[in-house]
Amino acid sequence: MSSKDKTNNNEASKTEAISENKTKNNVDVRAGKLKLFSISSFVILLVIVLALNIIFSLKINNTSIDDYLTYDMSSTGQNSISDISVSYIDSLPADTTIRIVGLFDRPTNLKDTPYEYIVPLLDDYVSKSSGKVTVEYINPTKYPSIISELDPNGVYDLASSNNYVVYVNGKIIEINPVDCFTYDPEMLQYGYYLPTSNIVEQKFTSAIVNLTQGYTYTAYFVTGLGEDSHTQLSNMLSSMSIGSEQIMASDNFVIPSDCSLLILSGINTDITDSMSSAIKDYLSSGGKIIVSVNFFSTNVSESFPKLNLLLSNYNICIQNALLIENNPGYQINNDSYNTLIDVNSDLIEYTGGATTLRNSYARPVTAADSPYNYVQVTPLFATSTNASICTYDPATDNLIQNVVQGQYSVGMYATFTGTPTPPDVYVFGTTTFTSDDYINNFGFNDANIVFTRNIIRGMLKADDSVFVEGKPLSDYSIKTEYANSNTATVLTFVLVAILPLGLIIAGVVVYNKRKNL
Amino acid sequence: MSAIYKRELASYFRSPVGFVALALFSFLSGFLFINQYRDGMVNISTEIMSLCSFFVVIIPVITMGLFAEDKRRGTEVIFYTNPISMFEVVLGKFFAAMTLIAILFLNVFLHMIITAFSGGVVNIGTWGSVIVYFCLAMLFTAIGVFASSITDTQIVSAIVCFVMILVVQLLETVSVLASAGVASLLSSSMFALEPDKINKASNNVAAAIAWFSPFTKTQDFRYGVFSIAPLIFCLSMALLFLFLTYRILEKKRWSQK
Repeated sequence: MSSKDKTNNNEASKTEAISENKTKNNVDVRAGKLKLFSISSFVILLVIVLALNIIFSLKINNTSIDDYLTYDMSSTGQNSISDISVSYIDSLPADTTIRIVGLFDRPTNLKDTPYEYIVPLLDDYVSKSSGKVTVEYINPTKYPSIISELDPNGVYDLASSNNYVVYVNGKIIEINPVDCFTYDPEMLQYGYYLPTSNIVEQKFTSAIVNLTQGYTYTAYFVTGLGEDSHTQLSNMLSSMSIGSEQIMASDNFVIPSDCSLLILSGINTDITDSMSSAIKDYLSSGGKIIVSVNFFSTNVSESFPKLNLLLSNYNICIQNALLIENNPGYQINNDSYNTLIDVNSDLIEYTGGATTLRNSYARPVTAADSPYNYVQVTPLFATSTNASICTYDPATDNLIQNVVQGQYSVGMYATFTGTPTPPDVYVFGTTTFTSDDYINNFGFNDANIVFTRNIIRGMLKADDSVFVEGKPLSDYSIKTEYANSNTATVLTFVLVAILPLGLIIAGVVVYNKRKNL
Repeated sequence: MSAIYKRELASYFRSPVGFVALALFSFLSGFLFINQYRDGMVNISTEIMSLCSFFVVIIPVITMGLFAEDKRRGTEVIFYTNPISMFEVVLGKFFAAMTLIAILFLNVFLHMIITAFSGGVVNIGTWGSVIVYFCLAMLFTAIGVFASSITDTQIVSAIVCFVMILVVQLLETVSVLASAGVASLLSSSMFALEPDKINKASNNVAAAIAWFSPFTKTQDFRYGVFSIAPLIFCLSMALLFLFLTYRILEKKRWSQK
């Protein structure tokens, strides 16, 4: 090969190498660009996805878009606040700050706990309050300063309470989650808390109302007379901006000057002389009183002579007898003692339209024999015309029935005419209008309790426009005729054994048929 | 895409995988349902939301072979040599897996029918739970598809998917632990911050971590709370993982390794 040929060969190989390098460079550049495109396109999508989700959850004035796109699909409305609460919160000034603090870590597993009804509802307060309501969960064991922040004077025992605190302008109301429900009274006797209705919204809205506008009135419950508990009645009063206090029965009984309403709820023993005198003075200056008694094993021998003496001034008498309803149409479950009573037709507006109410182990409450015309009494409820009474005979420790049938009154209202400050006296011969047991059983929406609420509103001119009714609890029960042990056994066998086993067998068959394909 | 979808769906029932997944799901859902039925109270939403916690087992079984098996057999080359978009391949396999999940869910429909016939409650809230179930399933299936695309071994794919879903499930617990950790760190002598600031910082850390948890976002569905944002979170994250899978498969076209 000549030197010229060699030179040509070298040049050709050089050209080839350059061409290869060029191609390689082109591939590198293209791969680099594709890599860049690939990474950047993913990053851009990542940013878009994160931004989209952040926008949805970003809170401005404690409200996010997410809050507007959240719906309550529960059948009971348990997760959303009612229009009553929304409109009250809307009516507050824009700079109002309502702080709800749960003194524990935010519960995560809500199922079958009271928080199932509380946590989502409180979130709804936040989303529908235009930033006026905030909800926080601060565990005081981790952050002790929260106690002094909420309660600088140490008035409440918040440290170990595990309660919610509603805080407005330095004032607080403590809410125990357990108190946000009504309970089956029979189960309570055995120490079991079987909820019957949900009053979470009622409790929190009442607290907000009372903290923002203050209590308008104060009701005093007389204690020490073997009376019924009044937790639920106090809840109801609270929702009407009426605070609840207690006065102990004693020989030096004094009714505080701020008493707007005196309540003797389900008392079992008679009042004292000093009480009689104090109550008479109180009523003479336009006082309001509600008395409820019944006839039960705890008070069969109590005839309330001093109370009757006091009530005789208002032409009312509580008889020491048990009402027996003989008309089956008025009996509840064929029970002569748990019965229906007719409402005075003039008072039907107070019951929300109900013409009959419930009555249980009642005493007749009748007009006394007052000769004074200025005393006006009005019967509230009456039995059928076939009712009778029986009285307690202490000698034989038996009830003696009066065979004469007639119509009896179970409640009376008395007032004075012609006086500038007339009293308002309501006397019930049954505790079905005031007792915790009754409210726990039938809830706040029951006609008896609606009646009580309306008469209190009428007496005190109290505003119950922000009264939130109780909500039913979710009921997922299935009919007992289906959910018996036989059906359950068959379903267990089919759903947990036969179906999965059949599918496994099918899988094995398929595997065996296709393993050699 | 439809050809890939049909092939993948059929493949579930040409191998024991589909039957095993069905058997597993019907046992778990049947067990949850019967436990409620025996008590005389059936809340289908609770059953559905409880079933979501079994995604950690079900999803890896369903998705482990989607791409890993093709890679092992070398049949993935078909996807690269045919005139179809790789994203269509990803979507075809994804929808096949979702269809299998829908078939699994027939068990729950059976429970709903039994509940309705037994006088129980099947209301709009229940259907809300069904929607959130499928949104969560889309998210976790997308994670499973992604896990399957990064390996050529089914077992490795299943383990990666399992771990990823487990991490997502534990985000809420992690947020609590992180919050406590931050609180103790900030209260130490090194920082010695005021309690309010510590409280705020630790709460923010917890909220930031929990923000990524789809379970935290959707936990209230069982009580009848229906929210759009968690669904958008699940769907957008699913889209993100599907796109990531697509990009990983596309990498083979330009990667020189």
